[in-house]
Amino acid sequence: MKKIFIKSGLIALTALSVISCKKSSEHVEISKPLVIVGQTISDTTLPKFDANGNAIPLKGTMLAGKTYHIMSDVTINEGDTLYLQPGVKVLIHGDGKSPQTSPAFLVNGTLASDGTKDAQNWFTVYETATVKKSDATYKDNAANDPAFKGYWGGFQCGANAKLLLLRWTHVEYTGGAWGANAADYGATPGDARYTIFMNSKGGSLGSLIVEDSWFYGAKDDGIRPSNVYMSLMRNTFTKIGATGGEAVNIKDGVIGDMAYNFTYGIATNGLKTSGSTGKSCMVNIYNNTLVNCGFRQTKATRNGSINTETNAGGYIFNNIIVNCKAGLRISFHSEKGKPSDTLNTLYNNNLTAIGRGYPMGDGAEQFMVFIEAKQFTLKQSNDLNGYTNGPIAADGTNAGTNNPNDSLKYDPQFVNYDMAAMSLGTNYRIYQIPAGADFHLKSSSPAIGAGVYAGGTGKNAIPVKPSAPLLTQYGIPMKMIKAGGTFGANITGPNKDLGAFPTDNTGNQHTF
Amino acid sequence: MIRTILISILLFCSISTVFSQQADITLKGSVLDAQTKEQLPGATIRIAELKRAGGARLDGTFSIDKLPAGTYHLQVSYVGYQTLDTTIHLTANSFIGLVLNSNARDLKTVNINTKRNAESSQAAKKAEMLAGNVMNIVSAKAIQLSPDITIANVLQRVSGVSLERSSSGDGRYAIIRGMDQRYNYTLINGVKIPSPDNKNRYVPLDIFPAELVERVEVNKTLTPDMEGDAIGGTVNMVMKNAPDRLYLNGSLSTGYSQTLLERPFDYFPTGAINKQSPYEMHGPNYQAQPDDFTRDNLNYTKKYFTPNAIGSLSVGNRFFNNKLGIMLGASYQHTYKGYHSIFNPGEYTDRDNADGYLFIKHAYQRDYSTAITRTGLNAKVDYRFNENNKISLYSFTAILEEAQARIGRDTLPYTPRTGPGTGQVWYKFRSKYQHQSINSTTLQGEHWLLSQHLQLSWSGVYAKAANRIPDLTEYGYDGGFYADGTQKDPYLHPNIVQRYNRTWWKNNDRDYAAYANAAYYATIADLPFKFSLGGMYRAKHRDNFYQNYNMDNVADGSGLQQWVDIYHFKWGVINPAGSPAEANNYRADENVAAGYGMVKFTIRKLEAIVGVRVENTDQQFDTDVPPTQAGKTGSINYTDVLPSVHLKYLLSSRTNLRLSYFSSISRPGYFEIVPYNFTGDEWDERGNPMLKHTTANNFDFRYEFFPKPDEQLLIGAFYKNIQNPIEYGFSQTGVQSQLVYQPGNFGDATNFGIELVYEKYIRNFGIRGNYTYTNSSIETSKLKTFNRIYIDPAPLEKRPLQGQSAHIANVSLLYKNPALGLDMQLAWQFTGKRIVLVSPYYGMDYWQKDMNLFDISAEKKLNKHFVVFAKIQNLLNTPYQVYIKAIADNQALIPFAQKGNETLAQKDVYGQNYQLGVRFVL
Repeated sequence: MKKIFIKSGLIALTALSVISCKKSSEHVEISKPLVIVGQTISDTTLPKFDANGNAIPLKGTMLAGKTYHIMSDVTINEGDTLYLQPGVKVLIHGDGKSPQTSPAFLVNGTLASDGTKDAQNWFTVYETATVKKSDATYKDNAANDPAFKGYWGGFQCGANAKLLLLRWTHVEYTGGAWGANAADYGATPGDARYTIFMNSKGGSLGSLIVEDSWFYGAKDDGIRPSNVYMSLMRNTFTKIGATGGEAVNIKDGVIGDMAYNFTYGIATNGLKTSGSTGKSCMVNIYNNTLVNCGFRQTKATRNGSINTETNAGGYIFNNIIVNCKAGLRISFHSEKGKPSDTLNTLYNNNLTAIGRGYPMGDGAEQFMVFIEAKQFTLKQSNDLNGYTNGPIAADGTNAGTNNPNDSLKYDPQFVNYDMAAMSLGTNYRIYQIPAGADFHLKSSSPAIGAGVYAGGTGKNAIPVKPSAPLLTQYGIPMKMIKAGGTFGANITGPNKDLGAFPTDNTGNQHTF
Repeated sequence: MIRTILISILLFCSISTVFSQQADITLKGSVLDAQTKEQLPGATIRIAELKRAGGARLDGTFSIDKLPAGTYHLQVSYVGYQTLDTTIHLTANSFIGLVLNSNARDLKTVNINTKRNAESSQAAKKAEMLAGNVMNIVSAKAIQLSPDITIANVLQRVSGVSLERSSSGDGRYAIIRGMDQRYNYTLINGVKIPSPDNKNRYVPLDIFPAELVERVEVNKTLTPDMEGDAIGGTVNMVMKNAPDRLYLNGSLSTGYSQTLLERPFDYFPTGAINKQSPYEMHGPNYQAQPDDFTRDNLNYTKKYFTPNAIGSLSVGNRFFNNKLGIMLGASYQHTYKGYHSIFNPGEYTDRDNADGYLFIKHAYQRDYSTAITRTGLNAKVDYRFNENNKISLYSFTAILEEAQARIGRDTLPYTPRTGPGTGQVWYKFRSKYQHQSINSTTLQGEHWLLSQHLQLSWSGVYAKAANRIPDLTEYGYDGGFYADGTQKDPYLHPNIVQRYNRTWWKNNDRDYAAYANAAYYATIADLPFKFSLGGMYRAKHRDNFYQNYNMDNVADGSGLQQWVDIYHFKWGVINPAGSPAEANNYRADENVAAGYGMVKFTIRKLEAIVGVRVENTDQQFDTDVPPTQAGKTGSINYTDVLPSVHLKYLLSSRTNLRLSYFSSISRPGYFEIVPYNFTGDEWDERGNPMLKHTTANNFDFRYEFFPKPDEQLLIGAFYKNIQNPIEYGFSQTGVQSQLVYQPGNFGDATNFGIELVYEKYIRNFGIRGNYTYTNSSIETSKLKTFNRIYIDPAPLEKRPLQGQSAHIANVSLLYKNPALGLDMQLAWQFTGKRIVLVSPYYGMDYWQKDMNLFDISAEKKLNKHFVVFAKIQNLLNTPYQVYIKAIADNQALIPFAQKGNETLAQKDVYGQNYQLGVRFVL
């Protein structure tokens, strides 16, 4: 289902962009200008080596229609740009067994993968007799699923990286162990690499733009940025984190939006934000859909859908959480996390539905709750979930209760996903999106018209909090990152419907 | 229980020697050294005809009563002295002054230490008085009598010395005058030795059994002929010398730890440990498999009977007309220790519109079980060609093996913890085995030329130190008893196994060193002087190997893997090739070349040493990281010129006044400048190639009064101005809240203090005491937030240097009854509060609480050759406690942590240690 590979049009000199307008049948296709940055890269086996055996850093343009083979770590130097035209396929030759045999892209400048809906780009593993790809038969088998083998090392961005942009791009099978250069990236050799790691340490923040892309298979966290401007829009995440790990784990100093993402079967949280002591993380989290998340995290007190920790703030609205271990958590304390920035946090209009509110048989540690008690999270006025707020303690935590009898009550009624059936047995653990599943909303869905949006009134109005300086400063969506054009973000504001797949089809464009 | 046994033994001893006879004359007297007029406590006075005997007491006096009148042969003997045989007529109560001649032939007046019974306290005192610089000496006699079994424990009896404890609870490093171990160095017979320690260059003193040592000298000032890298002081262990006649000294003892009487010892077989990592065993291309990692060493069994075994033997004699001397010593200690530890590390937490606050994230309860084996071998051979030429060969091997099991749990004191008995709990198990060894061989020579005006001495040294920590592993599982939000009542959650690491670490240090000194003795205008020139060169090399494997907790079918036991734990290997290309794999060299010139002269009552020393340091390192990374290699070179002046003014024959100035340095460890990076016991640790070496100007003043040879009063003051002291602190890496524990230069510091030493003996009783007041201060910037944002610029906080107590005191009460052959000592050691860990956050340093330690020891002479002894360490079971001077704002109560305005961060309870044994002296 994910293996659709569109060959047609790849050798064309133009890349196509599809803009669908409203619900009418009018279909307009206007060609985008061809972009070539620097030299074109004609060699398809990379990197090349100099006379001394040192790898030559990559820059220039990878050409539409070509398939490139990455044999070992490739570096993009500070100031350089590697541009992928629409319709480029990059095959990484790795086996995940050692840092040397799990190549990565080390980005110190700019990497832009400019795929389109019709000419998508790919970063995936080169399949061999011993390096097998995953398939739909691996549904709940993290120990053996090749999706979690970590065949290659993902995108590791250095302290001065300027831009990492992935657009209509498939990124698969990342997570190979860190090697010798780990310390340059704040990691330790032997640790699993994140699919995308970016941390600007210099004066100016880099930008991370990921839109309409697919992330499939990662050993640990998927996207893990610090100190960048960020826009994560309309992406799909599956099979992320073997026994722990988040699809998106945003750290301190990040300013941006995260919207219309769909995360399915993630080990821990689908989406997580966390600043650090003395430093905030301001990320708006809206119109995302999270399903079956949190059941491969072995630590009992980590959350399982959307989680904010340590000085993290932002608007959290219009999200749908179904059959996850726990709903939204505005954390007070967790094993590693410290209190969220509740002053600069506003949240409401989120829907949380659980299939079974009672502990589940043999694996008694696994259960679903609407909201974890004794954290900051409260059920808000326009929230749809089965939690009853309790008394609020001096430290701001609230001792509420979850009503297990509200199981199935808040079903958002996806077009093709039976939440009751998917909570039976161990179905809630299934991390493979069923073929044909559709997370758009049925017309009877309580999520329709339940969201906040620009121009909305009453419960649909985007609230303001004048006392919160950071919320007031950044707003929703944020205007900090460069928008528009080949190297800018395409930002979609909050929708009147909840979830990543609103009825006006302006959200996530992916099908399964 | 053991205590009552001990007391009964002592009572029995005191009764057994009482007997009566019809007579009423009392003979009193004193026994003195013929030349020095020192009292000789322990000397035996025998009246042959009556078969009566008495012994000189601590003040050198004796008393034998109920004697009938008559003429008797009186025999007075004392180890190291010629026996005196004389006749007395007793008619009435009498007092007699007896003098003994030392049986050593004094070859040179300069050489006061080596002859006579250099092991005795008196000899130590004498050397202290005659020394050119400020020095404290502990004699073997004092060591024997003290409750200490390692040199480190002995040292804490010296004024101005406190100890930093190792994880086994033993003192490991000396902190001299409030200066951390890095500011002090250790010598054996005056020669520097490399450290097997993987982290610093300071030799762990608990590796040395106390019984092989003749004496320990603590120098607090440096003369130009001494290596210049000590700011606090130096420790010199002088090993036993070949005596002039057959010497045989052995001891055998056993003991028990109170903790292990109360709970069994957790044992794991060290033989099951893979001494080499899969990388070493199979080569760099090997992909480690789960089965390559052992399980037996992670399985703990209970041991219910764990007595200690401690033995030592030294034997020596001189041959060929006393030309050849041989001294051999061996020591073996096998001890079991157990202790309990509470560890609640604090975390700085932000809040709205206020300063940050302290929050406790973890409440660890840990039981340690440690089996330690110390082996020491000591051989000294010297050959005196004639009066003017002698050479000696000295070889020393010390091996420390430590196997430690740590079994603990961590209750997380926040959600879902709601009260006692609930919460998420981590169960953790750690097996650590460490093998350290030092091997040092020194060839030394001393020659007198120009009719004994020119003295030449030289040393050649080859030394090796090695450290192995194979397969250091901590694994665990997570469970607990708590409600999950769906039901009201807490229930037991299954135990889920967690990811963990396995690490192999080894390092080797090798030293070649050569020392050469020339001293010329002469007189100008009736003023005697000594002019010395000398130099040394040392080439040191270290290599370090580190391999870390991350182990995955594989899923159990479709569910989470539950804990059954270690043999059912299924794990995967995340990085099967290990971690070879890390900065932790490095080679480091340090070459030190030094030269000095100094003159020592005496003008009437003033004795002066004036001189200068120049030291050049050349450090290099080379790591295994790829060339594309910064800090793969590095080299650091600097030269220091270190002048010094030492003045000693003899107010009287028993009173000295000393004044000294010296300049000195402290080098970063050749390890600390390597950009290493690893996960430590509690923190992530990292090297710092930008580290500067420390320089200091030191001033000392001391008044010394020796009213009697066995008594003294010392009053001293010191002031140190220290540039770039190296302390460990936390730095931010720029990756989220990641803090790394790293050596750094935090600014300049001053250190001043007052020292007081007093000893006094009255008949059978003696008191020894010392007190040191130290005030050090350093001002550094600390992190602090207000309303969740760091205050900029960061506020400054003034604090003492790490490890420095304002008050340190030691008092020993001694009882010596020569008639009964009984010696007893009660020792009190006080270490005032001090910083053990510098927090990066304002007001959150970790302080050790005031600590009062009491030790008691006793020995009873059974006959001429046998002595039984007993020691109890830590009589009152004093805990080691660390606190943060802030109130933790935790919702759920943290066990044991809250105390007024402080929060307990660590509490280690060691329990008493008992030792009972017998010693043989020929």
